[in-house]
Amino acid sequence: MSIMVIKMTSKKGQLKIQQMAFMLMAITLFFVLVGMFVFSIQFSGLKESAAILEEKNAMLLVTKLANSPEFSCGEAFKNKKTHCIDSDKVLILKENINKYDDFWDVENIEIRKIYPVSGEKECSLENYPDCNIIKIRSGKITAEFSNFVSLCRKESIGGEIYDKCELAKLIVSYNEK
Amino acid sequence: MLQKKIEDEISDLNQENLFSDNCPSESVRVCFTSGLDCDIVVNYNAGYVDKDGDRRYFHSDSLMYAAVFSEREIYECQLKRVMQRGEQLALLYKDKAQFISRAGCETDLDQDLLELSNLQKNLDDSQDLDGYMINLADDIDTRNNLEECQLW
Repeated sequence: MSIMVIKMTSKKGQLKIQQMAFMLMAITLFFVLVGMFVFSIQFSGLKESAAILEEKNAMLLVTKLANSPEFSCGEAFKNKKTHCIDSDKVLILKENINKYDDFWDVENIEIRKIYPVSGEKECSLENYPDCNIIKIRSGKITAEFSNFVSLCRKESIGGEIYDKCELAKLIVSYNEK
Repeated sequence: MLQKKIEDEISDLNQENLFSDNCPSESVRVCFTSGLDCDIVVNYNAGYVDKDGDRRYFHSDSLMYAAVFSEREIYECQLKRVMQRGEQLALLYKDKAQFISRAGCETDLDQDLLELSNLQKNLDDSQDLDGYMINLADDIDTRNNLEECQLW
């Protein structure tokens, strides 16, 4: 009789231990799920911040390019302009762009005349200025940012030299890592 | 005049760790005239900075501050980078001068720009920042400002 009591008691004890183990596992699982939920919310916020920061950096880069001496009009055109690009200089730069490898951390730099409107024609030394797209660097693109600029060059009519400026977009593209 | 100019520039930077007077005792002292107890001596007229037992040369205030604050290797390396970019820009403007002649814009700067680019290319360290290159650059800039078709 006493042996039966002992056996029953030990079985009850084992049951209680098992119940405790399952409960502990359930609580652990619960906290793991809560932790994953919190982590995923924080991480998604982090990704969004990184994307916004990258976009801001890219916009700053477009502005920086437009004002850099390789692109900017400087004082070559009357009435010193900001966001003005010297297209004569840029066309020469295009021919020597290999010397600027890795200088600007971008895949693609393109200047596209948007007014007056005309059919798409890429610029070269042969057809300039009867063209509207100057592709300075061509690479793989996954993200693109642009800014409006004045695109200016020297022209002459009847032997008189004047500044001709048109509305264009400076487009900078890079490979999102 | 120089003292006032430097003091104004330092105060305009609004940096907590830069003092033009009442320097804390453990400060690094930068002197613009010879004197005792100077860690760095700047000879503004001769265009050099003596720091850490060596001399680095500068032209313009920008390079002066770079020479004062930088380690020697970093200063010399960054100066070479600036010269490399200057070389490419000089060549770019030389080619531009030839290119815009088709629009009737004639300049006679291309040969001097080529010479300037060669001087910048051959600069090994700040000692090569001599008066000839600086004067050539200034001369080209002055002549460009007088051109009907300015290159920059």
